[in-house]
Amino acid sequence: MNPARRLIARIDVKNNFVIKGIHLEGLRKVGDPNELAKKYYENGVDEIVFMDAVAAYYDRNSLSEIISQATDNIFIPIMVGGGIRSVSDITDALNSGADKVAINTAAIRNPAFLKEGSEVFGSQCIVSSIDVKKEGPDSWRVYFDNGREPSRFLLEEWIELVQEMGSGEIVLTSIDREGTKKGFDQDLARFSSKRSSIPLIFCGGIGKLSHVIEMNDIEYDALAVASVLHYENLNIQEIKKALDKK
Amino acid sequence: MRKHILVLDYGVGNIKSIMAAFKKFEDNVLLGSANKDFINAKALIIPGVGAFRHGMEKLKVNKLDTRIREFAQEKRPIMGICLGMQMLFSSSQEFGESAGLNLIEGDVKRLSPKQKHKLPNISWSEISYSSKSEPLLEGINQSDRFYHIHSFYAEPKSGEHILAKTKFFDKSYCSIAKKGNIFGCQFHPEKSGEQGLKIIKNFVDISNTNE
Repeated sequence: MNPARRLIARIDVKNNFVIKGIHLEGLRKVGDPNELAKKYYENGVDEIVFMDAVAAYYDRNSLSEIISQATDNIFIPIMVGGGIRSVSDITDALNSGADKVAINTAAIRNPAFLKEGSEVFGSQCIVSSIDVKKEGPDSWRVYFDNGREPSRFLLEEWIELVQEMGSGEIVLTSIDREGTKKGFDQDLARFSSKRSSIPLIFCGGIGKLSHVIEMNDIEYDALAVASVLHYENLNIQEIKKALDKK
Repeated sequence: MRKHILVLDYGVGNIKSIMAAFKKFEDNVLLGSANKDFINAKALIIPGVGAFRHGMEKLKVNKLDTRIREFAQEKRPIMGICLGMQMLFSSSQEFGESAGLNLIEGDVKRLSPKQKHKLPNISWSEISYSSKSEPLLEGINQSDRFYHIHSFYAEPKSGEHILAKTKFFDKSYCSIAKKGNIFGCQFHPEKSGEQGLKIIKNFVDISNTNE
């Protein structure tokens, strides 16, 4: 039996507020991170991701207090990302109650950081967060610093490298689609699905149920959504049902 | 009178969630690893994620392995979670053969179903069980899903030590083991929502009945 696909709620945080942008830019406040997380937990979401939206910029992560509060009430896996750049940042995140960390910018600068993290904390804890922009047919460039800076890597090269470095999971965001509610990029989904041998999370762009259903013949492991939950366009149970539809 | 539930602190794993989950049902939950912490404990939780050999080395540093064996001999309840479950077994094949606590006879093996698949297994999967009177499974339904995240699993030598199973592609493996008062849970009850909390509560009840 194939395990059921997971539904992940993504909560982007800036200065203790949940924010949401389009193409990872133009941020708007949409609520309190702990209140939203608790609501999503009670409604049956499978996992929660807290992303510090500006951390990579300022070389810091400020989510410890939010994570710490969340784990007192929320008994599902919690991932934290944004500004994770050292073993001591990972230790801090785990000590505040996170189960996994999503690493992006620090890995682009030094891929061996992923290896160091997975050797100390185990692969299950190290998630590679990959943001991409389309450059041509079946060609995507990996970006860092919140989607602002192009890296030297093409997607297929980077997927191979992060796996080699011991990542346990990949969360893949299409910058072109993020926040647009136009659906996840299906070409990107198929392209990455064929190249990943670790669990793959698609993130960004989901606006309606048909966007979920149209992806059901693609092999992937989890879907991360933000806006549709924050703005109550869709509810968690109907998305989970759509994920399971054959 | 034994006082607290001891959550073993040996530097491996997400302890905060386990503490928070047990505190929902038990006022007295202690995080520690000192001799005195063991003496007054009515039950012991062994958490842990990551590599088997690394975990066992950490247990041996302060002779915690000996403390755990003594605890088991006195029939005080123990629950190992994830890596904490695997270490209850005799040995593991992860990165070469290494010895475990040997409280339950059996080996830790790599999950390798015949079908093409991805590892680790990260999923909310159903468990199945046949026991009708097991206190740990009170209120748990066959279709309830629990959060699994692992690449290795523990296989008890004797089928009677298998309390529940999980299916991953074509592979069915032991996801809850039981031998007397020793329990091992491959999935994370502290990360499995309300169903998981039921298992935590049931274990707290077992600890209180055992006193």
